[in-house]
Amino acid sequence: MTKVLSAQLVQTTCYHCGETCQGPLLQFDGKLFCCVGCKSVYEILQSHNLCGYYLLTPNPGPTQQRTHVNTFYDFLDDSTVREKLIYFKDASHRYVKFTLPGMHCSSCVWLLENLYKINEGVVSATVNFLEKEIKIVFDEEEISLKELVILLKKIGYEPRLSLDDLTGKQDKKVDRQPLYKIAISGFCFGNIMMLSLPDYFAAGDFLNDARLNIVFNYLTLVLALPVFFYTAREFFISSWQQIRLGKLNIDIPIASAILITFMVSIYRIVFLHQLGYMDTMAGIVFFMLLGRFFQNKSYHYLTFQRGFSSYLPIAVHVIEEGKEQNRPLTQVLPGQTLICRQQEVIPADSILLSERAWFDYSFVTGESNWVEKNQHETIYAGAILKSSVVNLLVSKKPTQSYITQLWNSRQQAKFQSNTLFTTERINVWFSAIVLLLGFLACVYWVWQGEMAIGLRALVTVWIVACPCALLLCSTFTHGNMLTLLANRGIYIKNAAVLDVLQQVDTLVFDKTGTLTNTQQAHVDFVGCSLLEEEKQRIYSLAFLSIHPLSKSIVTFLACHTPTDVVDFNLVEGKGVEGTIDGIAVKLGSASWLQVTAPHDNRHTNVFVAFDNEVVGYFEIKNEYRSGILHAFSSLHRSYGVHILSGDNDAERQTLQQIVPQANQLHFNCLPEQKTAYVEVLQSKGNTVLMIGDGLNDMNAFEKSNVGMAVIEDEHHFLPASDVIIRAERLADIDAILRFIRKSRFMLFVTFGVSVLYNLIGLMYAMQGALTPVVAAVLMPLSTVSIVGLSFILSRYYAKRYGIIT
Amino acid sequence: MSVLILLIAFSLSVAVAFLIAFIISTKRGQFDDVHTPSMRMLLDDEPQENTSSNQ
Repeated sequence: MTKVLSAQLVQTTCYHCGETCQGPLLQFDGKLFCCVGCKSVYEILQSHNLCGYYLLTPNPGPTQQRTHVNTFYDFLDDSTVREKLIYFKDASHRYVKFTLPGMHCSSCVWLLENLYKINEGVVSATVNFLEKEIKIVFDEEEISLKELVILLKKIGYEPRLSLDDLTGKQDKKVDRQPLYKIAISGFCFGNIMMLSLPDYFAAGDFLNDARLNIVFNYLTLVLALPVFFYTAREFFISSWQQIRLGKLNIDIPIASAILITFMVSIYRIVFLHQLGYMDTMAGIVFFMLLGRFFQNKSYHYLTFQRGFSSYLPIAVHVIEEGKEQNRPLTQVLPGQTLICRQQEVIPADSILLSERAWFDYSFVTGESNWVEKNQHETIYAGAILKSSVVNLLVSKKPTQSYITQLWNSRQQAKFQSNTLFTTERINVWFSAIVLLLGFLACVYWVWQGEMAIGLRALVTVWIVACPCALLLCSTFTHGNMLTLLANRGIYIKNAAVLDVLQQVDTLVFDKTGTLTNTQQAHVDFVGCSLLEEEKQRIYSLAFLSIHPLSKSIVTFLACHTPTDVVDFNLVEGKGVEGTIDGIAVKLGSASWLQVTAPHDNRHTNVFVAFDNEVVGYFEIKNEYRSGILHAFSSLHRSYGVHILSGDNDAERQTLQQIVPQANQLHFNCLPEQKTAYVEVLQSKGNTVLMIGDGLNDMNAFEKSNVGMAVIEDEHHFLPASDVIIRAERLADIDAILRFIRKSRFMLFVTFGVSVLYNLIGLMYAMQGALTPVVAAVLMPLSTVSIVGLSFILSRYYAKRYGIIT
Repeated sequence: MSVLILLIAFSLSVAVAFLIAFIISTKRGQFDDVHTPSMRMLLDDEPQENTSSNQ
């Protein structure tokens, strides 16, 4: 009966999460569910009248299919841990913040903010959607912290607790300084402009009252003070630092423009009793800050330098006084004995006490085959345990483990060593020329005996040709591009990375996890339907083999614990056999089991026989990310494409279709070899973009000109990188790179326009024919048009390359 | 024309009041999250079947 049902309902989707229901059918309240997890979430919500959750968005729930690992939360009863997590408390209430990676739609917001309906201990819950964060106020007498976390997990939103939460290293404080600075400089800019209005229109004659004039002038001075001393500080500080290091950076021309206008204005106000150019000064500061705000709009919820600690478990099982205890990882010391269960991450370098075990080192080494370790061998932190329970003796503190040290030893200095990028270099040159022109004009007029005209020429040249508009070109164009790309799931660390990305001519791809999806090799079973116990037998047999095909079958069958296998035998290159519950089970190739392989021979097949009777076969495809292979055909035209794989060459055939040059396709690469390979490419003068996903690619990221990390979701752990790209966007890589390449053209257009402004202005200014006020009006005008132009251009090209629709 | 000084003083003090109000509200975190409130305001206490979005 179950067979018939599951055959009919193959296409049905889970009412909770919307995933296709596979395997045994789960039904409750007339709804279908894909797994027990989803069903139990529904039961909880239904019993609390919270089914509105399903009305706001169809199938809103995060899927519960993949939450195999049983997290244990006993450590949350530990008072030191509690202290760390609860960030504020008053007489009756506790305040706590969690990151919930599962949050993704408005239904989530609604359900989470209605948490008080499920448990009376919850006083209120406030969600920050973009940061996927929830702030909960709760009554500790009604519900403990541990119960709260379990409640969240039960309704499908398991909080992400990382070691950083416990060590208290996190710096979650939002920096609101930029907003204050923009507000204050905007306020001062507006008011100074208003006070300068009479001067704009009637050159000071409008107000015959000298006293009034003086009041106005001094008011602008007063308003300029906070701009100069508070909001413009960062420009002065950064340029001073650069000068001391003997370097030129972008802030130096800005700072000098600000300083000069400020000084000249004070001189005019105090000694000449005339209006200064404080409006110009405040304008420069205001627009620059605004541009920077745009450009630096950080993705709080993403960290480009995520610490290794967020990959490690937050708490572990320790054997103390013969009993199993739950301890936060921070309290683990060498010499203690740990218990690790299947699928758990080894938290510290330790020695295996159990007889033997299988570990998955793929994240650390890039090798997708599991590794077998025997008693007394050292296990490095970061490995994932694949066999059942083992005991480990901790040999180093988690903070001192090999991998953590490897992690900490890298300090990203790649983009600091190269402060002057092409566009900025032009800016610096431009400002140097402008400064010089101003002096020349001044000297010329003074030499002619026209002191007043000379001074005017000096000031107006500097104001009109203020590098501001030019600086804004790059600031705003890059800022717009970063925002547009981020909306599409491509997060670039900063504008400097954009500049390097334009020069990229070589792409190096990692295979495992980047081109392929490690989570799911695509497996189908062809043949008669398997009973539960039959599945269990195949699972148990496949479990003992480390062949990647067996691994895929193990993942596909997803049974819980393997049963004992007698007479296990591995026939090299053919398959495995063994006896389970008295039945001889064989898993292997068609020729070995003496059957004819199906005609369609594109995929790898593994045949199954019970007591020498073949019942069917598994069809296993290496799951490449959708569209990725197609993307390569266009990439070849513009880039050198290389693929490095930590795996063996089983996939050579497929990969050769996309990378025909045999010398650009490498298998069995160790992390060091990847790094060396990148170095060789660079020594040939190539600019390398390395695209990878795991810790094993980290060194190569470091070496390459730009490192791009592929992620499945924003809260996934990833190695330090310059660009983060969502996995489903990887297929668009060609269009993305083309768009980024266009940024130079966009800059030239905006540059050209502002240079045109400047040239016209300069011509008049050098003749001393321009009053400072006209110059001061021209300046913001050009700024606004540049900002508008860069906005329009970047959106136009984003549309053309499909970045926005 | 000296009435202008009075007016300027008045307008400036109004503007400063708004600036202070803005800074205080920023300090209290009102601008930390500008996205979620826009989702929250569309949510009913008890969503109804017929009001749900059926796209």
